[in-house]
Amino acid sequence: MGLAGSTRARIARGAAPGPGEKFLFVVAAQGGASIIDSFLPVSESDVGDPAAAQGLIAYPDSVLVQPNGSQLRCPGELFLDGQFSSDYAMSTFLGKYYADMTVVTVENTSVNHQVAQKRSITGAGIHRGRTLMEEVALQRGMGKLLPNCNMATAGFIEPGDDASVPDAVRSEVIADPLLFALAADGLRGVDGAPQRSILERARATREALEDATPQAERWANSRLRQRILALRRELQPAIEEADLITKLMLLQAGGGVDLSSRGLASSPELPALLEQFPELATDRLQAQAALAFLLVRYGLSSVVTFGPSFMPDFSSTGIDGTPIAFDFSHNDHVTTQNVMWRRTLKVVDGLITLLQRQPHGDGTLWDRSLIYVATDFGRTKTRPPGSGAYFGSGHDLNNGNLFISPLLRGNRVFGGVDPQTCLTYGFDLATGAPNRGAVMREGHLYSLVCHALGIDFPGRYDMSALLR
Amino acid sequence: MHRRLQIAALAVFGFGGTPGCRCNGGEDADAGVDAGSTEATATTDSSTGSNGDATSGTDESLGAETVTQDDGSDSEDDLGCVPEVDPLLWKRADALEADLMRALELGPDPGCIELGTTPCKAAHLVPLGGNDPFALSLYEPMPRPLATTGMAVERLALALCAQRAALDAQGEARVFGHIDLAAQTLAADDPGLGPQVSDLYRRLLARDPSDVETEIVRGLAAEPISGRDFAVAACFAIATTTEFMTF
Repeated sequence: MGLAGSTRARIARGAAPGPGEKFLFVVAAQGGASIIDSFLPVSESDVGDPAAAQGLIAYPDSVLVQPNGSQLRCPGELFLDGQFSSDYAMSTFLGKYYADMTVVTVENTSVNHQVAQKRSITGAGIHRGRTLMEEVALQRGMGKLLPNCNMATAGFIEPGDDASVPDAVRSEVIADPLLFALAADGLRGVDGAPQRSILERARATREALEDATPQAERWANSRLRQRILALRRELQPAIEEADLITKLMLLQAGGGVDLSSRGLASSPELPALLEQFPELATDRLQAQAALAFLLVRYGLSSVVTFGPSFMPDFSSTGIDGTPIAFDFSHNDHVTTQNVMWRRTLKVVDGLITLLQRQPHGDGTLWDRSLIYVATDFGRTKTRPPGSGAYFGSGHDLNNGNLFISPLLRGNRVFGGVDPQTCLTYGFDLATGAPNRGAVMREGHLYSLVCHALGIDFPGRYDMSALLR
Repeated sequence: MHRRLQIAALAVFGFGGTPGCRCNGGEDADAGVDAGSTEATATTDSSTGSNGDATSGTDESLGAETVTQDDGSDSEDDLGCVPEVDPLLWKRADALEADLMRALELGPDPGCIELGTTPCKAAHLVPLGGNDPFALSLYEPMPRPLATTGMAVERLALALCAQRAALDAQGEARVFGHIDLAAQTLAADDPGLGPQVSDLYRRLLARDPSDVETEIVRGLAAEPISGRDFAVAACFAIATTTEFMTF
């Protein structure tokens, strides 16, 4: 038995994506990216009572920015003290992309990071426990070499719970985007290796040994052995033939790395990538976004997931972002949310720019893309009186999520926020109108992504009110 | 329920690196569907509220059931599924590297280093079957080999085999002592080929090769090949077999 079902059919050659395809990028905003600290903020004047505003996460009216034409607003420069900062402004992102930005409120169902993260990608089990990435890869990526690539961490890389999902669309987990390309060829660039022709003979010898070994008969029913052999005999040659070790190579010569003497080369797209992600050699998030683009640009993947981890990312200037991503809000809520949103949006901006520049059919790759900024949950909405901008927050079920896509009705919030509590509320599914009595769940977000990408499943909510 | 507990127990104890699921009437349930079925049928769906989180109820404003739902693991169909225990286990990153280094009598330095900068096991930890609770919050390794697993294994084996051959060529040979590593071309009937193959089989697979297997590996010298290239190629071929990659 070969690879699960349709593997042979999915062995393409790593060319450009075909017309009509759609792509999903899941940006895993680890730790609780709060929507009221980004694109659904509450101003002190919204609260009305200045004393009450001091006990809520409400921003001074003077720091909120609303670009011309935008129905959304966001915090501008906060001039916060401390060692964490970002050179990118939320308002820059809003000004560029408000027409494609959609905020959807949600009430999550867990305040446990791992559990909540998984529910953010399974819609809390709305579709047999399949992750969004598995479903999109299954429906849109079966002709691809690596249909579902995942560079995130924790609950965002957990497999779904639907046992009927084929292995072919389970996540290819990528720990290091800079080095991933090396795993796309078993022989090239290995120090001290003989010529490839010799090693191809060695591979042929191995395959003959596989048939001759006593294991061949004794363990004929081993699915593990079958899978290893099938991957090696069917998928691996296609990956090597597609030259992914070059196409996906983010490393560049210098800094102690010698590619050319090992028969390797940087991706032909590297100059364009460096325009958007100049620190990709040292900034893991930038490298992830760069690889995400390459995986889609070369027709290798339908869905790519990436995001910061709970490990601090160190750069030459200090720590990029905050030490445990958005969850550093426990220590310093406003700074963390502000810095991490800006850090995240900066790479999303770069990704969108690359997608917009990449021709695809009659338009660009961006025309067919959807970015879901997934997160665990929201943060608590209150602050100790007198704490000003420096306080810690806890986990809160209540939140909202950001989607960026030409496929959705952009420049709009679906749902709303109560300025007296800073709690979000839902909307009427049929009309999209705000409804203070409505509660949206993870399954609505899952349904929205699927609906936008033309994927149906039993129990899917009709989200057509949110689609373009 | 009894059967369900059995399934859970099998999963908890990790039987079967990639078990399948054989259903009612003994027919294969999924024809190539994977492998994670034991986990899926045996573990508790996190959305069922083990944390005491809000998971269910009716959203009256929407006139619809709330979205959380079980994955159906209580259904009759699933209760009719019994995991098919895989007879083999995946030899994962640490064990794979350790077995290779032991077999080839290599110390930790320099080991397999990608591009002269990064240890291979670190560079390819996930496809090699390892997990990383700290950097990735990946508390459990991947249940089954990934698309790039075969290539990651090849890179590790190739680097270490080449390293051993280089060391043996420089001084007293520890592994490749049956052939002339300096030979530009090994004769197809070189008397050292058979013993060298046997030695590699014992080191890597802890058994003697069959006559057929010996002939297959000797076949590498049927076309012109240097002593050192034969050493690396033979080592690579054996060290990347499924027999070496599994327990």
